[in-house]
Amino acid sequence: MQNIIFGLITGSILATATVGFSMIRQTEGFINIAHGQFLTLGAFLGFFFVSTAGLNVFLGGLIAAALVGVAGVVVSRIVFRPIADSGPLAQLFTSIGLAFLLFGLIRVAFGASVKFFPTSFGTRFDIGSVNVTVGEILIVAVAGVSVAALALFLTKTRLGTWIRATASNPSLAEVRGVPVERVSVAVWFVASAFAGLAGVMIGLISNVNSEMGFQQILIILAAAVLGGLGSIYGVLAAGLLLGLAMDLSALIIPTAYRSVVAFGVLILVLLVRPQGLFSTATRKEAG
Amino acid sequence: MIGVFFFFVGVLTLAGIYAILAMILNLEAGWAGMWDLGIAGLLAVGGYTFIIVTQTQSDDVVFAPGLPMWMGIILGSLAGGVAALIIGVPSLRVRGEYFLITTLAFAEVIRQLAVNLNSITRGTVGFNQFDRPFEALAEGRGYRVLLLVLVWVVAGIVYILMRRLVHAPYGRVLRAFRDNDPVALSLGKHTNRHRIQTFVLAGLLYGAAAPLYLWFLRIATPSIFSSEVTFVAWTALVIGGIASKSGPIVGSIILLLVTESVALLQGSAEFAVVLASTRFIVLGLVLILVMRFRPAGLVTEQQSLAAASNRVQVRSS
Amino acid sequence: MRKKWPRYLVLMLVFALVATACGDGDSDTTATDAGVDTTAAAPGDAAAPSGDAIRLGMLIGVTGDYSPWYDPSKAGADVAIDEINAAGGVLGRPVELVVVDNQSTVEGAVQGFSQAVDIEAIDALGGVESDGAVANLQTIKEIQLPTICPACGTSELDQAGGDYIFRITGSDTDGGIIAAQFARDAGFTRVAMLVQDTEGASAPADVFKEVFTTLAGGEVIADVRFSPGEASYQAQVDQAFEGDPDIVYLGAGFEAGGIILQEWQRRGYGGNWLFSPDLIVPEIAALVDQGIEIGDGVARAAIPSYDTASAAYAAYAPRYEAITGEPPSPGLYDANQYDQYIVLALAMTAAGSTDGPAVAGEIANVLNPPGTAVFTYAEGLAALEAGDDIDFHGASSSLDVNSFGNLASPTFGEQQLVDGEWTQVGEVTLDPVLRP
Repeated sequence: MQNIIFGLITGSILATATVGFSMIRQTEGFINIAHGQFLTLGAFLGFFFVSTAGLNVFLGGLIAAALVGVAGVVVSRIVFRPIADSGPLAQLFTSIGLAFLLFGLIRVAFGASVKFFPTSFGTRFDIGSVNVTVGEILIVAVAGVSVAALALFLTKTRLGTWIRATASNPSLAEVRGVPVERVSVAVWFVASAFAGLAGVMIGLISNVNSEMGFQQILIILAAAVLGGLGSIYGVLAAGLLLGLAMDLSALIIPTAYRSVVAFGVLILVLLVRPQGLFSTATRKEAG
Repeated sequence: MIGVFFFFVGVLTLAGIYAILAMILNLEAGWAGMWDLGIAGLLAVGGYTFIIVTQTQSDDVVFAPGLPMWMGIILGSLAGGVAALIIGVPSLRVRGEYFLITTLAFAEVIRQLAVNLNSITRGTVGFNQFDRPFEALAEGRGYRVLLLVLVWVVAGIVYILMRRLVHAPYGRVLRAFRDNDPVALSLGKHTNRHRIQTFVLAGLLYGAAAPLYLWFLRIATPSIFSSEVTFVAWTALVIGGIASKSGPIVGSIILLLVTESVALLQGSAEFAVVLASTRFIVLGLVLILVMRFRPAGLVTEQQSLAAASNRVQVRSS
Repeated sequence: MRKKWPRYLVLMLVFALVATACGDGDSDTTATDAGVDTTAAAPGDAAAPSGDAIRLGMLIGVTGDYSPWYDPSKAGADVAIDEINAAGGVLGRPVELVVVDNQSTVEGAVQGFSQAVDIEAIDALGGVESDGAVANLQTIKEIQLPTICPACGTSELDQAGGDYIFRITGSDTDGGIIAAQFARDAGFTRVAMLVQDTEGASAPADVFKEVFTTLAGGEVIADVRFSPGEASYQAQVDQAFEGDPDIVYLGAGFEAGGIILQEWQRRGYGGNWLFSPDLIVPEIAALVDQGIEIGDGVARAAIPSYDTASAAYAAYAPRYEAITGEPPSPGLYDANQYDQYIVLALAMTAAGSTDGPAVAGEIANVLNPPGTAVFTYAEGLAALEAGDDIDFHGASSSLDVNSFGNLASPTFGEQQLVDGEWTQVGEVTLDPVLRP
């Protein structure tokens, strides 16, 4: 039972990390491996604000996420804009190059050492045979609220509608007068900010280190693929499912294979439903 | 100066090994359109099989038949092919980024197996006592030159093999599938069977090439078959030029020279971390710049990767 | 396409030439100015060393998983280099430290070794870590390079060294036995294990398990393995504590170890820990300040101890502390890094040259009795110049080595987290009954 709590925590953080990745995939049309580095950047910035600048963790996390959002927009203009017509292969490998570049720069800026957030998780509540701490509840809550807010934004606001239009059919959206440039900036800001937020969460739950980006990007990719294209609820479901699968699997198989379980679930689902769990749109191949 | 020469002998040997991997990857990805992220796994299967069957000491493993080297290579190759078959049958039903993830998952499973099956693979400790071919002919530094020559001879053989395949009817069929599936299908060819055949061929080749990597490193542990190997091979291929015959070779040499030469920049020890990070910064910049200005790779003639990737992508309707 | 070939060849050649020019030129890698500035000898000191520098390599993880050990290791090495040069160098020549990064990977160790030997032309090698030592083992023997490993625990070196490669710390085999001894002597019979699946962590853990269950009369109620680099180990930790063990053996690096301790705190499992040596680092101790409630004695570990009573340690410690602001720590292997270079310098002096086989042949001689006991480089130098045999006692231990190049009888210390600091609370001698 306790493992379900673990899975929820893992899953909600994974979902937060994946929504942005999925948005980029759908609106910009390529797999952005550098997404993991925005996660890392968020974690280091968050740590800096909380530990060195002494800010409250919510404020520090928020500022960190916002800054990463801005960084994402800047990077997208400089690096990805010029190759927008080069096809998804070039964009994918550019994102890989960018990932390495950012990895090196983050290392230079923040050092190679591992950091632990000095933030306490608060009191522990024992509910029957399971227990959970205040901090963990808050993390899940923040993840849930953020994703819900994003869903509202996408459905209720004009910018959000434009984004969804671009995601489902970019050329048609453009023809219909959707401001492509503004949509792109918005998407990159939101996607990167969510990555930064997820980075802070992961940093709080575990630690902050320069390898985080590469360690997480594959499971993020798995969650995105599992969720399929379509609404972000797909991503949310996929994230939770994978998180639960990983932590519940510890009950039946040797824990060394934990990350493999996630891929195993993915493969099984894809064999049955090759377009992912919640795909509504036609799947556009990224190669 | 002599020392510098031998250092570059080492760099070029490693470049040759990656050239071989990149050429095999080119077969899968460039010509057959399969995005394989599980190279390291197939390499591990071939490599471990080779080491295990050629081991003579059996203190802590259940299985050490001590077979001769040539047999080990053949068995390693076969093991790679069988692994590819096992992985390929379920994976090839999905394409593109899904195939990517699936092959990656299998590579991770293989690595975990290598770590955990202690009685067969010696777990994380691995193997570090094994003979290398032609050791009687040269010693010490001289052997390093011998190994360099051996690796590049194999690379040459692989190159010729790839050239034959590309021009043979088999290769034409592959590229037909990659370029325009429906037409090929309408001609009655079986897409999946050809894909599996290619994948198994790649597995056989990775398995056969694996011993070269082990002879270079002189150690076999699960950690040497990391995703970094897969990544370097892919980068070498992309930089050199997907779907070109000599692209993988050029890409490997340039990539290895660049990253290893960066390592030579010595400076004050205070900046050691900065310098060590430069290798990644340089690697990233090289990739970004190549994709920006010569996206089809350094060797191909096509100026636009969109054109090249149109040939690589498979569009589903 | 044919026309493009010359362009790329030229590119590659240019690159190679530029790289060699840089490599040859900028090889000044000593950290402190005093190390290189050999003319600043005070009156009354030994004559300043002059001539071509003797190059001592340090192949170490500047980046990668082992990077946390780099700064203290470098400091220890620097103390040694300065001491050697202040005493007049080796054979009248200055010594120079050449640091090469192995990136904490096997491939990095192989390439780094080539860089150190081929490009930097080192005369002897130190700083080596387990992966690198094993991967380069055959090559070291072939090129006859005197090599000292200050911190390698790998069991693969238990019987592989002694001619060219020496190890001046205890083996993982002994580490695992000692941990089993602790558990037994403290009366723990039911142990759960939480082990990282990397060589440095799993090798001693496997020894622990075997010795504890077969020779120490204990029971391992859970053996949970995990991979490093994940963001959560909650399920694993839960599994380890589920059967209500007397104590949990944690074999991990401090990255995963720190995460595990945080999760242990949050869940409130309580209980005791038996840590592997990699966790005896300030980063783990710092967690206590951050609210991880590890009371005194809750976490204990065994690691080859420093002989703090020895004159060598007394001479070394203040100088190390002057650089880093912290006292030496067995978990950081800084004194071992210091010792290895003094040993190499003494061996070269005894051999009268930097010739590989000659130097390697003298290492055991300068470390083992019989001979005049010496505790610093200057003392050793004076004794050798007077024609005596010496027996160098280092800052990390007495450094007596056996025929396999391993410490003949490493002394172990029990370390515990007391008041948020790693403290040695006692010494332990390995019970021979427990040797498998």
